[in-house]
Amino acid sequence: MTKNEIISSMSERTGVSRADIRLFLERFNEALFQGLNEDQLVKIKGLGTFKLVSVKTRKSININGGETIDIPAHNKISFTADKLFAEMVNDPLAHLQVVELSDTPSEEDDPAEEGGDEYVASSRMKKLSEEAEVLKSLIADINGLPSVLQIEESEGEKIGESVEEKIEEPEEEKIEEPKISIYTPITNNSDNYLEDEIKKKEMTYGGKVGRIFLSSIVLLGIILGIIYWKRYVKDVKQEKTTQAETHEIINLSKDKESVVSYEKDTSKDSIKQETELSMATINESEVQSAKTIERETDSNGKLNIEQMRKINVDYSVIQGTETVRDGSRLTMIALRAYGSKDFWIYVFLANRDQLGNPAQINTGMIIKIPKIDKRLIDTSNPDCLQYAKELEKRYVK
Amino acid sequence: MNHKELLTSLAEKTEMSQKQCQALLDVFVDITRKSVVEKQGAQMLDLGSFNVREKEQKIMFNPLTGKRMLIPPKLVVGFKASTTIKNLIK
Repeated sequence: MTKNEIISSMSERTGVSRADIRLFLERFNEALFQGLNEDQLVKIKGLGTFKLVSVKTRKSININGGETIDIPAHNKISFTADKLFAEMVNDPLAHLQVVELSDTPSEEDDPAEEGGDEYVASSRMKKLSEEAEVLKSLIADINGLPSVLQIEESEGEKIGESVEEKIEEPEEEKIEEPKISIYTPITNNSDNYLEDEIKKKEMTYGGKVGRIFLSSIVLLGIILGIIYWKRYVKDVKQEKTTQAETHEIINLSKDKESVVSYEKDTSKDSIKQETELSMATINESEVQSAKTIERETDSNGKLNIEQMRKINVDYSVIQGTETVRDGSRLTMIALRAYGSKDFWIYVFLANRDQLGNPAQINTGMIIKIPKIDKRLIDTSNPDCLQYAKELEKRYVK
Repeated sequence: MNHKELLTSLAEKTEMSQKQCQALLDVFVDITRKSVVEKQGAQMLDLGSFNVREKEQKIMFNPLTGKRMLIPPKLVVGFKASTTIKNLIK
């Protein structure tokens, strides 16, 4: 429905001429802008709420050129429908309710089929429920096929038998690793698990063989994950003790190498990989400890209120100016400049030459925005807010 | 600005009584709503357009109980501001 159609049906219902209604709607728009500019919010009964949301400057990448560009700060309008309006729109689907999913698939299908009879989107829902079924059959396969797991574990143990106990764990991993690496695109991202299952759907329909194959891959992934986790915990512990011990680990793994070299060349290579891996994890943990130190210095970087009082803010240093629009307020300027309304006092203090009190702000006035020490306008530091309030008390009676 | 304040400012601008404004606004809201509910949407070049958008069903976790919930599909109102408005509020 276009505006013209709306106007004609309005004039039919009210008996007011089209021209008058057109004028009325224009005035309505004007009132809406005015309200948005003044309060950043306009509520209309029966329709909903219009809100003005300010967006900060952010960086983006030009899709064609690949250069980084700045998207300048701007305002946008968000609209939230009234409760009544939202219910009216959702009426065709209102009968659908939130369903708790259990392990049995039967419950899950009910809402999809209910909606399917009446609504066009049913095809999508059916797809989803099919996918859910596939998922479930997979889970059933996993539960029903513990034998696969046992076989692989025993394989790992056989080769590890001659070596010391400590080596057994990594040994298992080595044998599985080459197998896994072929399928890593599938097993790697546990986040994309669902999507992967959808891709696998066709394969699983292919027959039981395919299902067993897939479930074994999933199993391998889980085992690998557990082993990695264990190893990670171990490595961190070792790293915590002393560096001498880490040397020992490397020596140990060299010993392992000599032991295994009597057996197979492949396992030799894999142990080399293992030493590399353990080195890598040690490096990682070092990096992490460095990060935690950085964080500590950050928290030390926050000023407490005593330190803030000592800082002399130079209000003549200006980071920009802003022309006051209709109905704007100091708090809104502060929100745009510093990211929080609470620091409006700094804006006020910088403009005391033209502002007697904070309410004395007029359209067209050019407001200076002072450059403030970032530690003073840290929204995450409660002392900053307290200090701003203290300033308010001191300067505004 | 709430509904009442909007009506006062409308009455001032149109030089009509608040009651008349209220009646016209009600009709406008009603027609817009109907047109949106019937999935035709309402396109106004100077304001923007209202449309129905479909939210697909999704599976959610309750972090407290760990239960999976199937959230049913939903129809919601979408509003797109027109370019004229976008430029005005920049």
